[in-house]
Amino acid sequence: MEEKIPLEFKNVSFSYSTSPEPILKNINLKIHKGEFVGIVARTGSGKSTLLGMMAGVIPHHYSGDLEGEIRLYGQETRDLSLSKFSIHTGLVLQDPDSQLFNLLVRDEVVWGLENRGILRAEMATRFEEVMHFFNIDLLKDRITYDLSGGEKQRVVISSVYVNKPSILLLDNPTSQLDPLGSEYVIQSIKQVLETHETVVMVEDKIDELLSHADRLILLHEGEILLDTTPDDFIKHTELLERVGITPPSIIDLSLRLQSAGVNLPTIPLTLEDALPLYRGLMNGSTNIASTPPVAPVKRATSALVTDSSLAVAVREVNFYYPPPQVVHALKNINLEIERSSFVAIIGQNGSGKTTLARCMAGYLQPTQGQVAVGGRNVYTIDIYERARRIGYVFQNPETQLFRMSVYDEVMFTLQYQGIKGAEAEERVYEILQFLDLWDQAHLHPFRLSTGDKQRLAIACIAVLRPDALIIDEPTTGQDPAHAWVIMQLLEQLREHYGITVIVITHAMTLAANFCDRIIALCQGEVILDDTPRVIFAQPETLAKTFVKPPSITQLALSLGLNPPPLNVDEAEQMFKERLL
Amino acid sequence: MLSIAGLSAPNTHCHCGYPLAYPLSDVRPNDFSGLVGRQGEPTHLHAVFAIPGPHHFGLMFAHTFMLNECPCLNESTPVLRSMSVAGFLFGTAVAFRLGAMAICFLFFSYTTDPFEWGLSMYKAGIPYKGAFMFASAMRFYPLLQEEFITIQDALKARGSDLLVKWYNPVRLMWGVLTTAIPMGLGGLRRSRNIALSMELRGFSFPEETGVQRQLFRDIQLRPADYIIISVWVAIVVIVAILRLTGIWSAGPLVLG
Repeated sequence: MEEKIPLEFKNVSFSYSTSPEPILKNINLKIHKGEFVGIVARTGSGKSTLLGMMAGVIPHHYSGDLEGEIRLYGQETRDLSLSKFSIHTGLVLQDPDSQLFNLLVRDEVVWGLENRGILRAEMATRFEEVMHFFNIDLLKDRITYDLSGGEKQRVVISSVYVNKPSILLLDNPTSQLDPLGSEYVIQSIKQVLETHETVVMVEDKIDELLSHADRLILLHEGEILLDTTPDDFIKHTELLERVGITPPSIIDLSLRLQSAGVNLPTIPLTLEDALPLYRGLMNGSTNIASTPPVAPVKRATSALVTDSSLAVAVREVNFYYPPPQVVHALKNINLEIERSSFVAIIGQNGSGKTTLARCMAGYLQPTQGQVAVGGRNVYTIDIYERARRIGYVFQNPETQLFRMSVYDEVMFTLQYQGIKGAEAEERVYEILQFLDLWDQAHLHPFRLSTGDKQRLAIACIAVLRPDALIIDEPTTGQDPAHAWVIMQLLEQLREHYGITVIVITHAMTLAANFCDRIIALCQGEVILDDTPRVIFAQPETLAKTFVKPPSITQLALSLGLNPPPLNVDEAEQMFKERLL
Repeated sequence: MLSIAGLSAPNTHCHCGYPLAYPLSDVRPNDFSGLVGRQGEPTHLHAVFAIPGPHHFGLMFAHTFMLNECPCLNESTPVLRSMSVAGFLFGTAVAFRLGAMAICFLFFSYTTDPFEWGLSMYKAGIPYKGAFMFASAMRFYPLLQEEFITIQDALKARGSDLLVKWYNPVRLMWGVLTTAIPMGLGGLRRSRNIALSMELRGFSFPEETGVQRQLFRDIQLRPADYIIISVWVAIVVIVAILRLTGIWSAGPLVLG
């Protein structure tokens, strides 16, 4: 008997019932057994919808107008219920918190088996197998909501994989995780790939897809623009640029050098491929004069915490979380942040960066020591003045929006400062214009796109023009192009209003391009504090935070280029000087 | 029975007490924080007694001042004119009754795994879906708690005093309403996603295909459970007989 194709799309179009615009148009696609297919797309281009169709979520959970036919092993998916689907497919979504609903990891993983009526003895064997397979034996008896993000997502993958789906669908599974968490999840996914199951994955980190996928699909505005191998995929530079997909920096660099006349035989897809290639090139060149490394910046420490010329001063701060689990979250932190600087705080989850930020914003009182903002102890300033001195934008914009329209939302902040009438209106207009939200001022905040919501959350705080602005992971869960735009915006706020910007981030490429200072925390201590160039030249110390420098910087450092370049433009210049 | 050790160390698996600890632990004066941790979870079970305290006091206060004519004071004491002994006694009785219930529930919830609770409901004949939904709802309280703290801090970041002036009931109410928007909308979206991922893992599979659902965990009634249940039933029966036959009558407190 002829083997049936796992998934087949014929002329599929779809629009959600909430909007007349089709989100997917005329999709034709076949996914073969044992293939690893990567889907590359910007936010809002229909990638999650496409994956949802493969899992039966559409049309069975979200309704809308579906045209054409989708076949799962030859069966029309309209005729199958979600339960029937679940025999063949397993879907892992972005947010691990909404995929865990049991108390213990053990219950979570066997839950799908219970529903399928698998006998207890077999359940036990399969459970042990899968825990071992993903190397998470130690998590068995843990409480699901006490796990770290990476652990949670691995439990989600296990609890889907334990049902032995023949098609595994992954929707941006690492987008909300920290570097170490992503690393672990990617390891787990590689583990699955070795079993040669069919895997379809949507992922913003193109590097990962390029190095592992058999096929890459480029989706833009609901249409498939490319469906080809990774090697061929990256050659379509103009197309990628047009749709706003930034190629990984090493590929970008190699393509630029190739067109400038450097003799690169192939375009390397990963850092591992690039290293020997570039090493060969460098050995051939005569021009290897290296400049001496830059010296670390000596920061003058002012003895007074009340020095009002500083935006934020943190003096000998220790923080202990109260019982039952006493945690020494911050250990003797001393920091001075100058006015109008752009600072990144980096570190692993649990390294104390959020605790530090919350101490800076006055939400937490340090157990010992003091934090001063503009020369005054931030914890004792009253709430109205504190908002004018230091702003805090939280990670999820949806927890910060309270009003019924974008306009009212910004006005809400001013109302507590006693700013009324024409002045208030003028300020709201100015900030909304500045952040490009004026056209949407009448909309309900929840109707905005994710990027615009983030922008609105920033507007609501920036309207007070605080001295300093702390932003917690502004780029997590955003596609790279959006993340770039948000960082640009912060840069503009700094230039225009002189606001000191402090970002908590995992995105090193962004930190390298925008920040003038990086503070690395590890287990409650500051382990590095300097300019990005100096920080990235110390990969050993940096490795403690599980953060890797941008790949382009790593490449240059491995080739002995110190000080290293921070972006593709700098690297291009550097290599051209040496190779041409 | 609860041992002393059990009193000082709540079962960390159990967070069902959140619904009750919730309103108090979030809107609290700073000096209360030694007793209740930041996540609203009592650091010691002793806190269980403190949690119903303010409600308790409020009930007594309300009844004392707002119920009945004043039999003991006259017009020469204008401020306390409406204070009543009957009201005080009645208020105390109601407060203790509610307090006893609250404490029982809190003890139960802090020491019992909600999924075992759900499992026993299922074994007692309640449909699986209902029992499971009940148990997993309990599991989401810590998440809600965390979200509430973030929303509260987000309000502070906007310079809003709504939840800071917790002692002003009007502002407090307004603050609670304001936070209800992000809480509600966020909860709605999350519950949709959870429902989806449950369906994708075969929540409805047994109902649709007729396959018998198997359970990995199992619980059985132990001898101690039989003893406690019998003693409890016996007490109820004895008290009912005593009251019905008039051997044990209600006290002299009559309201009117």
